[in-house]
Amino acid sequence: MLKMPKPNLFDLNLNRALRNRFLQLALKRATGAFKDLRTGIINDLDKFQELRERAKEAKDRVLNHLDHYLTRLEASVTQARGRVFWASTGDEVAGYIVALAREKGLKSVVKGKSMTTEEIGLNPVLEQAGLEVLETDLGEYIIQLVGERPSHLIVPAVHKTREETARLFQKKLGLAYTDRPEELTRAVRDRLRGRFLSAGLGVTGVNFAVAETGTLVLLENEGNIRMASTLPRIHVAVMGLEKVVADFRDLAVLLQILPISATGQRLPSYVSFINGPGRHPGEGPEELHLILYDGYRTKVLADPDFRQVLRCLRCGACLNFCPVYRRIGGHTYPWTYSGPIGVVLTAAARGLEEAGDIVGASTLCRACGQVCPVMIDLPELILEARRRLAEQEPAGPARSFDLAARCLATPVGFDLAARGLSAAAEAMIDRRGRVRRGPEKIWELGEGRRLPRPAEEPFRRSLFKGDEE
Amino acid sequence: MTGVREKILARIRSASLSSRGAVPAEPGPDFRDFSQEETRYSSEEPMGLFAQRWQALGGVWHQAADPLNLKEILKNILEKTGGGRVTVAPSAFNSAPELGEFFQTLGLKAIPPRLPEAASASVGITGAFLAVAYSGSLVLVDHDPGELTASLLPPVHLVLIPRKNLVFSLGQAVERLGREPRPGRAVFISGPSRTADIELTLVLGVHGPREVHAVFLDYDLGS
Amino acid sequence: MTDLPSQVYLFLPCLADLFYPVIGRASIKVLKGAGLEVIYPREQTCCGQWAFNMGRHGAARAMARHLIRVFETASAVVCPSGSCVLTVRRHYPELFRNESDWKARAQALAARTFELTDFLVNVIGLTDLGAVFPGRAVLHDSCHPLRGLGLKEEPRSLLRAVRGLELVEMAEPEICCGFGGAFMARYAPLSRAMAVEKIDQALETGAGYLVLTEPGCLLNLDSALKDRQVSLKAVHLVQVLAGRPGAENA
Repeated sequence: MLKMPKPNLFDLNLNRALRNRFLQLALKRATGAFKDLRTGIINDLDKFQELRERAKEAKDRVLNHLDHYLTRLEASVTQARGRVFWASTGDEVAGYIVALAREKGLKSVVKGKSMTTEEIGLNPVLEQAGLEVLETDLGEYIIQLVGERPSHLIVPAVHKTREETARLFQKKLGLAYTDRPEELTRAVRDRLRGRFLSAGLGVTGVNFAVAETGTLVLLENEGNIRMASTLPRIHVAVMGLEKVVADFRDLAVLLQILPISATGQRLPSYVSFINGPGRHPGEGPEELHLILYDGYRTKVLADPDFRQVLRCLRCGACLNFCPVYRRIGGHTYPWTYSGPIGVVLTAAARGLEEAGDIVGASTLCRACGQVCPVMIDLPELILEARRRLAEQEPAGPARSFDLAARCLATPVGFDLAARGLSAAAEAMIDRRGRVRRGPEKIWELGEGRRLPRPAEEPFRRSLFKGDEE
Repeated sequence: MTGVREKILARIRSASLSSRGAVPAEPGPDFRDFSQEETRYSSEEPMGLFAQRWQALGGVWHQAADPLNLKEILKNILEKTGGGRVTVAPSAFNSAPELGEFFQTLGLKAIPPRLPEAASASVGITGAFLAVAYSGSLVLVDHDPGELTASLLPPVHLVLIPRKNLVFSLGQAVERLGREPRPGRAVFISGPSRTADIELTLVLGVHGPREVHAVFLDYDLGS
Repeated sequence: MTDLPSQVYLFLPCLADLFYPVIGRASIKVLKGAGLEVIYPREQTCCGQWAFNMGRHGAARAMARHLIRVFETASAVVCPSGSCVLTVRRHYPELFRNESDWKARAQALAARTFELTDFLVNVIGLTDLGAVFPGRAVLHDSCHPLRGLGLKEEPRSLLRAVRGLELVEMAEPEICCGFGGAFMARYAPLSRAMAVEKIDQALETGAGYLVLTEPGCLLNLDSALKDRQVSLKAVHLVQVLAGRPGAENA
């Protein structure tokens, strides 16, 4: 009666992740570290719950009047001598950057870490147009070199051992073999320094864009974003529409909660406030371009249940607390975004078809909803996605399911089902709990377990015999 | 590209709840501090809290009681860094005007705080607009040139800052940055540059400085 | 000031009914021992959580209507499972959002339905039931009572009052054990990996008993435990409160 789906690519990726012992160890350490760091700071704060509510309010303020705040932002940035470009699609974003580079005769791009540009798939398009694109965040640099997807939002190369990184640098960069993180990091620093100084174009994301003042706010620990947004002649900042913040008051709230949720830091090493191009020669770009990118955002804004996902600050707390994510890692998720936010965002933005597997791979433990800094009700959204998926099912299977439930809702039906279950269990499972025959899914379930058979006398029947204790 | 802009705005408007009402006119609540550290620590403590947080992040902390003390501190730091190429931003001189002749006495080669020269400096010296006790941060702005270059490219960064520029909370710092005249650029610096991207091992000094000194001037500059 | 109830209805989760009837017997013993009259309406079937979690609201509604009818006249309903209670409290009103009369009946039931530890500690104010159960025990914080109902101290207060029982904590009691209903079967290797980690943490405490407040978690961890040659046993908290047979010498 319960139809088990056949194993598919998702299952294969998932099981492969489970078998990867280093990945399991790396994810456990990374998520554990971020969880502990976050908890440590929160214990110090008296008013964390209030801060969450205030942060939610700040985000809802702009989402409720997104058109107003975006046009305000555009005016402020323009007044600060920045240029604003609106893009509906990733192609439009890429096209703008390519045209800009061509117009200025620029060939090399240095990039700060930006999930929005990954969502767009920007790098390959720029490269195809003849631009040289260099990721400058260390983790992104590593995965760019090896051609893999990020496995974690904050530490994208955490799935690589130091030995693998050493071999990668040896092979691709011609470096002498060393697996000491300090030396590997220094090698990248030295390599990138010259590129920062010579690149014509710096492309970054944006954490917050303040509508009232036109200020772009960028957070980082390494210093590569400061470099990419200061040294090249042109700085292009790509932001999703939802990154806009009303004013400095709301900014102060979000600036307090984001680093705590993401990495358990009060602030990361650098927070840059950028208002227009550089004011002094050689101390900032000649031109600042801000791209306002839609993609899925207006579509999700129109969905009354899912629009709250647009509050997301990309902190990664839900990933770190998700008992499933910490075992399957970023590579198992179908889209750019992983963890619980990835599940609901994929369902809302890419559709239920693409999200079907990952929506089912949740125990609904509710840890994610509890830690989200902007109080997105992630568990309820996972349930809503499941509801929509079930609704899409053809009438036949859905009706038979309902019929079965109506049967189970009667004592006689339930009793019959219980007897059926007993018979089936007896046929498939022996007295010691080992599976002896049955479909593949039962064998899989029985691995590493001694499955209980239903009691010879379920409680409901034992009372009929007048048993009492 | 006005076509795309109008289409996006139209999509936003049709997606928005019809009950959303007008844009709220009144400003939100004031710049609250959610850590409540100002009440927990007495008004004597901002420096204590700053020093604790800054040092926990790997920053080095100094206090200069007078100009002579400042020179001793700088001399010590500069001797340890070995190289003689120093770049000094104008904001440092705002905090400590006597620095010019001081560097001459030390026999240091002062490099202008701009590209391409500053790229080869071993030490960058700047002032700071603010220090923030809550997060152990220094805030630099671009009211004067050279600030951002001198604080980013050299591997060692020294910051000279009057003690009175220290505030408690992040909210206070953001509020001050919002006051006119607003800077074109500002940066909160909370310790050295860092990464844990390789096996979660902490490495300091990735692209920004690996060593950063906060030197508080505990005296009035006078006129 | 409302009177404390003198009579409760036992709502037994279907998993307990079918796989661990000892939970039903222990619940009755414990509630009677607390001085209450216990009624077990045998027409009850299941709260329908599994259907709701699969997104099948029509099916879930069918099961919900039956449960609401069965317990409509109860002044207090007690259930040894937080996830069933959470279903009634949070999801039943949602299921009937378009049917105002059923919604009202669901809300009325929700207000009278309690998870067992919540009922004992917070409703009738009892933490010491005179239970005797020697041994070292470690508690797993099931997700739904913890994060859905806010219950953390309640099971611990009850266990600490048990004579002869030493309560210890595992490293990460709040991480999900990997049951998740259909999840355990659908994603068996993942579920097993999660169960193994939980069991390993329990073993590290040297405990003889791994205590659960959820029949689902019990099913998951008990089945994984039994495949290993270890002396750790998985039990439901109500079994501990009912006392270890033959240990009532004190």
